[in-house]
Amino acid sequence: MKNFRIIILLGLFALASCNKDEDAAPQDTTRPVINSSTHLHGVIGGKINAGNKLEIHYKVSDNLGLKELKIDVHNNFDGHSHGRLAGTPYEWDTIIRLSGTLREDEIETWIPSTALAGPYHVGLFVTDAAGNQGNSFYLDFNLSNGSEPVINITAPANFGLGEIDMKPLDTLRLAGTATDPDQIEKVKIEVEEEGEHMRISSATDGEPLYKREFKISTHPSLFTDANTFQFANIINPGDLIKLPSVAPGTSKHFHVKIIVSDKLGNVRMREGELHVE
Amino acid sequence: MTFKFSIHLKCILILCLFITSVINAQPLVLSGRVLDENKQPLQSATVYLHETLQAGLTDSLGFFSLKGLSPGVYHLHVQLIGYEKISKWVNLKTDDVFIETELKESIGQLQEVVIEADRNKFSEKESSQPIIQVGKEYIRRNNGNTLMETLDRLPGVSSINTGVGVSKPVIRGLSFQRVLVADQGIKQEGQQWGADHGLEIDQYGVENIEIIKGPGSLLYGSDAIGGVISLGKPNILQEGTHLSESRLIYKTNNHTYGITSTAKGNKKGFVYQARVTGLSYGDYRVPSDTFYYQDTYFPLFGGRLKNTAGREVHSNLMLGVHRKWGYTHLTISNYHQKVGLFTGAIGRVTTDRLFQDGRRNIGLPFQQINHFKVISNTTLQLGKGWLESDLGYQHNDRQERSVPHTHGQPLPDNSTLALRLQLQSISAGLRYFVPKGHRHTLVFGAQLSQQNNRPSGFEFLLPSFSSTQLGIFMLHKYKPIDHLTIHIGARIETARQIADRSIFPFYRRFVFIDSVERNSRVARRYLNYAAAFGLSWDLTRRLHLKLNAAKSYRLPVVPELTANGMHHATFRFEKGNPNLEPEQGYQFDAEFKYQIGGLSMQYSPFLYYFSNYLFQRPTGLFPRVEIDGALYALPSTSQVFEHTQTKAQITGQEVQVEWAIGSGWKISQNMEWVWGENLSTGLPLPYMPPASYFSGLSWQSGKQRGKIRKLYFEANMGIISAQKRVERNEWSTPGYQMLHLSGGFSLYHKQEEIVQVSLQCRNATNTLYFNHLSRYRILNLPEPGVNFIVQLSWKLEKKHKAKS
Repeated sequence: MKNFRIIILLGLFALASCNKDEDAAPQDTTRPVINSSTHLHGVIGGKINAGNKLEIHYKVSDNLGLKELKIDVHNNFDGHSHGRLAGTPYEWDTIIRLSGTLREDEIETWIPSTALAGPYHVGLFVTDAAGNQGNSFYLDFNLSNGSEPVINITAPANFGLGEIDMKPLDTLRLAGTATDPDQIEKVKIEVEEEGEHMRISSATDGEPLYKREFKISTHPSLFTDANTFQFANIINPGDLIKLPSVAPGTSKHFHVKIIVSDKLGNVRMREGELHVE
Repeated sequence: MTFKFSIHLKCILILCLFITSVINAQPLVLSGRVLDENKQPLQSATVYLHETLQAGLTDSLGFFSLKGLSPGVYHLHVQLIGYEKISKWVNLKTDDVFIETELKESIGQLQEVVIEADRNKFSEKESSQPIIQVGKEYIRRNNGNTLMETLDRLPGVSSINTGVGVSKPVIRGLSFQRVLVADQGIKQEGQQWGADHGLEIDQYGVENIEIIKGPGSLLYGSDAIGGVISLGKPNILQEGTHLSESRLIYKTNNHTYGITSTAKGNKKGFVYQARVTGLSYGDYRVPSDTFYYQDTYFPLFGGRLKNTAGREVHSNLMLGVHRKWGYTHLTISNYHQKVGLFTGAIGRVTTDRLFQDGRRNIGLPFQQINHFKVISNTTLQLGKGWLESDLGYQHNDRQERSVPHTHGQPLPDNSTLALRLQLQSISAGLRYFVPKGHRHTLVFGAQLSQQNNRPSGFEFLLPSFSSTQLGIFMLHKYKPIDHLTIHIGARIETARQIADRSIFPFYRRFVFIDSVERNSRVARRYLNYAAAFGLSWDLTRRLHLKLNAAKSYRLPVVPELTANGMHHATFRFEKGNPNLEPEQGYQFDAEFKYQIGGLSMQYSPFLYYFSNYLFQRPTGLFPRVEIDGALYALPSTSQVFEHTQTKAQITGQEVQVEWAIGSGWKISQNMEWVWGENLSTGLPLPYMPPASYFSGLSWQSGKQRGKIRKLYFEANMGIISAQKRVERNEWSTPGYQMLHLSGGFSLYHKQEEIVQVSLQCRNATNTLYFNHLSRYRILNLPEPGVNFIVQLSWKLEKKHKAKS
């Protein structure tokens, strides 16, 4: 008769029921947690080579008792739209039986050398014995198979290594090449303002600061040939990356993403950070 | 269809017989006088006969007369704003009858004349169950984004929403297939089990609503275990009157533009009504530019919820004949809605998917619903009693479209059609009212329904199925003394459900592995009974009591038996259980109403016990299939929720206080509280509405002359408590306060109301809050911010002098 309340309605209603708890399931509504120390081994600088071992190091806990952990690796090539690809992207998942209140362990999977290159994510999902499911946890990595495009940014010099300091209303001039012997399908460049808690500022009204897609068919002047893209050739005033004004005494942060895909469906992504003050 | 036709034929046959049999009878006149408690005549009181829908108004001396009647027993309803409605039993034999009626002053809910939607011809007061009646004036003044949003401030009523275009009713914490919606006696059939499947009703076409709080299984069968929302017949114009009415609607929050137009009339007893409604709205705005979900902040660019825009086109045509033998109406309607779902509602939420794509754009994912309905209602005089029949055909076509998200399963045509459900239903109801004298009313009824559901699309959720139900019932109303009405009734129902076996191909990394059975064939037969006993009693002149005890039931629906797949509406992988038993409810409720002077107080407690309440239990296991000894995980980020049953209890109460303080001012206070408990686990039942308290102050001008009349104003403050009693995997929701303002007036020309203006400001303080029952609650998405609603209607009325 635990927690079984009855309101006596002016004595009119008889007691409707009075049963004992059948399954003495604890009244547990606390969700299990995937600890933030969960990480990937074998991924260096966000990158792993096909044919290698991906190690997922996880730490999960619950107040009373864990039940299952599901790990799901799949591609994130085009948002999450799972569009049509020339090759086969890598997919892997497993369900791990758990018990106890804390589990810290590692599980590994071999990525075949034929897997398509590009950005992937690892999703982790955990439940406890009472059926509470914890918040999902995602880890991202870039898979390289040797035949994905090569992005070589020569200017700004420290692109992708640290924050690049820039002035308001400056123009970001990229130099260098993207090359691929299998021909370049397209080059995508996006610059987004970073928000306080978020990768993208919601103050931008949803429009990235800059978003362009270059293909040899539409922008032949940017390509030396079907296999080489020249960043320095972006000189058309409409395609220049112009930074906005920033109120004196304040600063803004921007995230630059360069995504190059080849005709086989291999993808390479490079990212950089800008600090505008 | 053959069945329906044969019923039609029989009706026509009976109809012909009676036309010939009554044609020779001398037409009779029912006249009378309506007075108040001090024997002063009441002008403009509406009188109408339930059986023939003949209506009239009292003159300045309180007199009325209804002509051309044939001998028989009738129910006469008399109502006037500010007075209690009454219903009188009248027996016309061979002579004209004159009756004198007294109306008692009242300050209850009723602000307008509402035609009874009750299937038993009982007045609200005679019923032993708590009933709320709502008319078109209330619906217009409180216009929300959907019919249920319009009604959800009524005590005991709430709604489950998906954004702003989709909502379904909740009565005392019960919803989905536990609340039945009946449109002119025909049960609305449109996948009630799903949280994202809204009610397919054009709220602009609804003129009379009766909400029965509590079990309605006796009269409506399965699915009415928690309550009934009965949409009544449209108001019928007086003979020789034609009317056209149009309304423009604009809402600031999501830039809704809408128009609804109707034309109706009555020429020598031939009645017609046509309506067309069109609505277009953009993404709605919330008072926040971020939301926090799964430990991450996500942007809501410009405070707009991407892809929540929608478009709706609804149409309706009713034709009817009114004669002294009764009447018959045929209503054909179509509801069409295309509404976007917030991009994060299906699949993983990522920032990339939240970039705006235009305010009025409807991208993927979206739903497209088409609900086509034909209803025929007939009332015929059969001897001295009356036979009523309701026939209906419905085709509910629901399409859920989303980006192919099949994880390794090739799609030959790259279709975006994730799920399509086509549900066809035929329903027939017959009731015979046995003439028994004014102390007894005896009703016999039978109901038959047949359903067929056909799913398609690249996702699997439920199989194709068919079901048949046949129920018969008997209801006896007995008035041993004038101030006491006793009801007793019983129903038995037999039902059959057949769900096909479903086999789906299973792919792994684009490689076909095997065909997998998603559900086995299910064939079930059921036999259930419902019974009810109730009373309605004037204990004193001021104190009125209603008591009701009922045994009710609800059949498991096919998704509860056979579901096996990801249900995006709930973010859950649902698995059915083919062995579930029909839900059995033992339900007790009461209502105490005390009235003194301008003060009215109402208290309605209830206690429901379910021996096997059906719900979804989380298993803690992720979905998988076993093929040749190997286990494969299914693409799902959710664990499996298994449909199961438990002993459960729901209790709660509603308190209503209304105080007319004079000169048109009124104070109203409403409180509701629901407590649901799973008696096996001691955990709360899923998705129980939080306790709420609404406090309102309103003023209405009583001016009877001049150009501007019906000037009104209302301020309503809601205090909604936090909901911390939650089932596993349900977020607790913080409490909030909400201010709604509304006002308006009518313009008159030569004593005719020609223009109505109504203004509303919902969420006037632009409060950031979460709705515990919203589908988007799982994503921690806030509810819409401030919303100004402007409505302008105009009327053209043409009256011919009726030839007498």
